[in-house]
Amino acid sequence: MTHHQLKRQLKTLQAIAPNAAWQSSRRDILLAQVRAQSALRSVNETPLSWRAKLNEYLRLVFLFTDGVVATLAARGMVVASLVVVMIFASGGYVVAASAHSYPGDRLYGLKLAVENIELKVAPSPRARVALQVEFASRRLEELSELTRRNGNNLPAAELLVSQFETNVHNAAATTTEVSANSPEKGLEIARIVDERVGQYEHTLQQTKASTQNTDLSYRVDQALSTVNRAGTGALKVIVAEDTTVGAEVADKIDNKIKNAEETLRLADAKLEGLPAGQAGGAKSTASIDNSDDEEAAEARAQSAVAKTNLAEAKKKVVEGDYKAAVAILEGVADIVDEVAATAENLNKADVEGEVKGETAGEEGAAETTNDAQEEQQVSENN
Amino acid sequence: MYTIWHEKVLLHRLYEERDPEAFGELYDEYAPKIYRYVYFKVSGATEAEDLTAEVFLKTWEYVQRHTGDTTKRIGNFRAFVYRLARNIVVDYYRNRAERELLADTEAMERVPAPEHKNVAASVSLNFDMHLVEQALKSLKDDYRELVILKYIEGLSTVEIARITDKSKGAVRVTLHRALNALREEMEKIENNSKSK
Repeated sequence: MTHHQLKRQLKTLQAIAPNAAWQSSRRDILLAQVRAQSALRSVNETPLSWRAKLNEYLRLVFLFTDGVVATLAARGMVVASLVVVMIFASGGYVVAASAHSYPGDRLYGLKLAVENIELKVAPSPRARVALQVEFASRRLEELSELTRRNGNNLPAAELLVSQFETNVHNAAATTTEVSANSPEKGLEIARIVDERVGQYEHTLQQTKASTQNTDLSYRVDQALSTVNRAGTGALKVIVAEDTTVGAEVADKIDNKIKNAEETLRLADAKLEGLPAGQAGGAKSTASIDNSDDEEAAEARAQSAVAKTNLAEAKKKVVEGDYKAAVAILEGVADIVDEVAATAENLNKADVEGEVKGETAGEEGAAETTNDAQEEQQVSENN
Repeated sequence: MYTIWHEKVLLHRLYEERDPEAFGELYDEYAPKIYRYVYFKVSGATEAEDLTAEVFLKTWEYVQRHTGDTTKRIGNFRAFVYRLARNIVVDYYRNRAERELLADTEAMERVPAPEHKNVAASVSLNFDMHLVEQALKSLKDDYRELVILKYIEGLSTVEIARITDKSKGAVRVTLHRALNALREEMEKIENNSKSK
């Protein structure tokens, strides 16, 4: 068989395609998130007058009903599309019903759209942050329910974690922004975020403990890191503006230090467990071994630096200098996350066929291809 | 018709106008391709679906994260999404390193029988597909990946080099060897089936 015949046979495999229903439902879920997050960015960047907000609200209402009606009608669900039109004439009955929907449920898209509208018409940054922390809680609740219903639905679970992080991140960003311009208002908002941090951490830890899916577990770790940073940001504002803080704040800072130390301890254990000269498991080239060893050595050095800083933060807590302790925690967070990520990556098993560097130096007879033409095409594409 | 210029317009709409439908169109174009690419590298259709969904979710997260930074915006969506798919499959292998790659018979059911051919030709077409798919699975991952990208997905050598972090020369050499290895596998399978 010639290469030409072989290539023709390979082309027949182009007929392999995903299930149409799966592709369509996945598209719907993905675009629901895209729409929600696209609108969130607009909210954060463009402050609107009340008249403009009302217009935007009405536009979203009609856009949503138009989009949903068109989709349902296209799928032959004429009766369902008429029901949707009735939603906004019904005094919100279906909207209320959607509040108890979960990913995969028919009304879940409506639930997200309503939350989006609520954010858009929030009258102040404080009200907006209150909504964001509430919506973050809802995402965690949905994640727990999703894991309970169908523990293997990783894409939907990851979507929820991602939405949760977006809400927390946006709330934290607003806290920082407002406190820079108005310390008193910033303090109010910081307290709203601070109150939820403990609940988020608890729920995420429970989710991590209940899942056997390592990808979801890793994703939850990332969300915990986001919550940790948001919590540190809120504490920073609180200790700066509230001179009456005492034991409760000291306890929170202490817990953060302990969590960071525990993260470093686990990372150090993973780094210590790596065989010398083979830092990432079975590798095939010396160049890969050396770069992994360097990475592990760098991570160990960074871990030592972080531990020194955390010890300093502990001293500051004992001295009552909470501002300094939180500032140290804020500075050390990146180092701790990086050490943990490096330890995790180096510790994972090697991949069959990970051949970066394996073909280096392999030169020889080449198949005839028109590289100049391909290069020109690719550079045109760019 | 979907062209590279249309793709540039979609990226512009995505970043400048934050148009969700632009992302939807990119998904429509690339979801089947990425699914197919992933399908040949994992053990079944369900895993391929999950990983394909993850590719697009992570693509959107990347877009969200770097919208304000023009230096990190996606310039070439095709290269980006294939590279991301490759990395996600690498992570999949890391977590499931002992799972063997098996083709499943679902693939045969998804292929529409060509209506204009006679029954014998249809049987022959399906047999050829099965044969080449079986031979493909027997290749080592390095060879299989390049064959998939070049001869099934139709990417250029330059694009493949960019996605796989190899030199163009290495890609050409490996493709040549891969086709030879594939041919040997197919002959082996055909001989085995004839001798039974």
